[in-house]
Parts: sequence; structure tokens; C-alpha cells
Amino acid sequence: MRDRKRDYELLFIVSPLRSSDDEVNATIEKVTQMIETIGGNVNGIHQTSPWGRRKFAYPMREYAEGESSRRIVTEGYYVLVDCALPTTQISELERVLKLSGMILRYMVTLKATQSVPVAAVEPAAE
Amino acid sequence: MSDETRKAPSQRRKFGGRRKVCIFCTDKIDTVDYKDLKRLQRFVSERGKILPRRRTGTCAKHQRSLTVAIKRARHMALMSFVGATARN
Repeated sequence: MRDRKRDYELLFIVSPLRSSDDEVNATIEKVTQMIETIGGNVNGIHQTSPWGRRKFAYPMREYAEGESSRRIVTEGYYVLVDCALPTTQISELERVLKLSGMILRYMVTLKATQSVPVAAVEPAAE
Repeated sequence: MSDETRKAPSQRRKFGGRRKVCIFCTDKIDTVDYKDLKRLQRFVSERGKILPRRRTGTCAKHQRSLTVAIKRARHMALMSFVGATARN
């Protein structure tokens, strides 16, 4: 029960100042590695149609190295990751995401469990 | 109770027409998804403010879930804080 896994969705925005194709791929790679080191597994990565490069609904300002004022950015690269994570490790994942300079913003949400009757699923798993 | 049933329908609801039904209930959506922008867009005003229940007819349960979804969408810059057509 201690490291119970649940399904989460992680949506993050790769910093637009570092979003060449290579850097995007490196960031995704880093995140998936991170998820695996904390004992989760990645079920899918979405970066097409609604995601991928996308305009923000409002401009954000981001720190750019060597500039005195923050640069205004209006678009970013969105990546949506489906994953199963141990519930105790979420804060650790969030800490790393927060410290990462590559990621502008992120959102970890519990996936809505479709109203599958619990009894119908449990016995097969055990 | 008996008093209420005796009244004509027009008297029971003084203002406005028929009672609205919660869209999320009719669509059988349990929790509102913050990524479902098309749907969320209908529940904010032109200024980007979340519309009250009395305007949209959502039930209390879904309104709670909806406000969370809208706020999440705003955080991820999927929705505007100040209105869709405020800037160009």
C-alpha cells in the first residue's frame, strides 16, 4: 500500500528560449528518465495537434541569461505525458520539474478515473 | 409544498424562462478536464471571468470542478486571465 501507483497526467511547457528540436527531445528524455527513476512508468507522450508548439493565452516573462530584464515570451512547446506514478513520489517529481531550467511551467493532475466499478477491476490485478 | 404545486409555472419562476440543466450532468462528465478548452470557453465571460451558476445552469458539484479546471487552464496559459479579445 505504501507505494501505490496511480495514473497521472503531466503537462509541461518547454521553455521557449530553449526549444530547438534537440532541446525539446532532451527535455522529454530527461522527464521520462526522471519518472522512471522515481519508480513510475510512462504510458504515452503527446506532442501533436493540440500540443506541441502553441501560442500562450497571455504573454509570460522569463529569465534569460545575461539580460537584466526578463524576456517576454508568447509561445511555448507543450508536452503531455500519461504516466503511472507512485503516490509518495509526486512531490519529488515536482521538485525536480521546478528546479529544471528547461521547463517553464508544469501541471501534474490525477487522471479522472472513469467510473469503472472498483470490484470489477481489483480481483484480476491481485 | 401544496402551496408550490398550486402556483402556475410562470409564477414559480419569476424571471427568465425554463430551468437550465447542467451540461456536465447531461453529458455524463464526472470531473471537468482543464484541457477541454472548447467546453471551458463557454463558461467564461468575454472578460475571461468565470460565469456564475445562475447564468450557465451548471449544478453545484460541476461548478466546483469547473472552476478548478478553468484555473488550471489559466495557469498553463491555455486560457486567458483577462479575456479572449482583450489584446490583439
